[in-house]
Amino acid sequence: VSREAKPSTVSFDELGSNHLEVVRRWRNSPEVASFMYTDDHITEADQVLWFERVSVDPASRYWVVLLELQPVGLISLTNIDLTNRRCDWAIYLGEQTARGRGVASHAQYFGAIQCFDRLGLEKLCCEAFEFNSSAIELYEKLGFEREGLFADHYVKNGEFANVVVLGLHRSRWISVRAPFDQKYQIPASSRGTEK
Amino acid sequence: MIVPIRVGDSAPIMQWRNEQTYHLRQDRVLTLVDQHRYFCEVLRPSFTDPKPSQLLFSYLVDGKCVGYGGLVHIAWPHRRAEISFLLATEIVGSRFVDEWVAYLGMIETLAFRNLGLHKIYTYAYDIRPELYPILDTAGFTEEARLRRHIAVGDQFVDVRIHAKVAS
Repeated sequence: VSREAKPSTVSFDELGSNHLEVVRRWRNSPEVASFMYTDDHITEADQVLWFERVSVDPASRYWVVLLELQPVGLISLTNIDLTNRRCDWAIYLGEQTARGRGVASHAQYFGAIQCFDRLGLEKLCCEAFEFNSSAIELYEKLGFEREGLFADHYVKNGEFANVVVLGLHRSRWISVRAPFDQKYQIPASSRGTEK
Repeated sequence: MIVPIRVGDSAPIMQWRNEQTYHLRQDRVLTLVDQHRYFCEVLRPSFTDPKPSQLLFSYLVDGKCVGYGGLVHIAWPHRRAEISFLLATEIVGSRFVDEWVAYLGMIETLAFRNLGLHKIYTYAYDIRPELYPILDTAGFTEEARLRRHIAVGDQFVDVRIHAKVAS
């Protein structure tokens, strides 16, 4: 029996104050924190301050990933740069039950749609620890290409760790998107450019 | 030699920045008011901060300021920083290589020996190829080429990142 989630059961909700505690729990969990650049435990007060900052930041957008209407992860576009027409993204699934079911792939597709179709940007950028090979593989499946390797770039668990930097350009996205469009069934009419 | 950035050098630095925006992350022309505010509100407090996010210096040759730069985006927990350097516009054409070589030696000593950093790197728009042999000779290696990453006029250019790790 396939564990793959039906695309129709995955949806996205703009991050709101009602999501802060679940997001904080995910972010502090070893499964998520082990792939993040910072190790500090996030307190309730930290989380509120963070939300106050990002919710008014025009260069950031956050969505909670829902599976069967239950929050399971987070996707963000940050450093939205309208001058250089690019942004960064980050994705994680906080709920174990959502992993290995194609939900992250669906979330990636949603992020690409937001970047290229909604915001009209030219490039989507991301980074991952070199040891996070499953995330890098997922990015490359969507069409991301490696642009570099930052050696000894972060101290993680007391040791220097390498970071892989990747980019996905609009031209590449156009050439690879068809199967994703088909799979996730986003109608062309909803792909209008926002800016 | 390098000395902590001097307020008296702020006007020529502003002028050089405004003349060389083509390779800087600067999206508008700076004014003297901008510059004064930056020195008072950003740089001055950083002089007493034990872990500042940047350390800037005036670059002097024969006692005259002919450039400025330093370490920026300093990530103390990760012991790395980005190198910044801007030469006076009037000597870019004639002394680019010599001054970059001299400056890199000083900034490397400061970063690795005095500050105990582990890694330094440059972030350069791919429009000054004369920089790369200098970095190569100084032991830097190219870590990334961010393709079509910066809009310059109506075109996109790459960004090239070179780094050196303390031995």
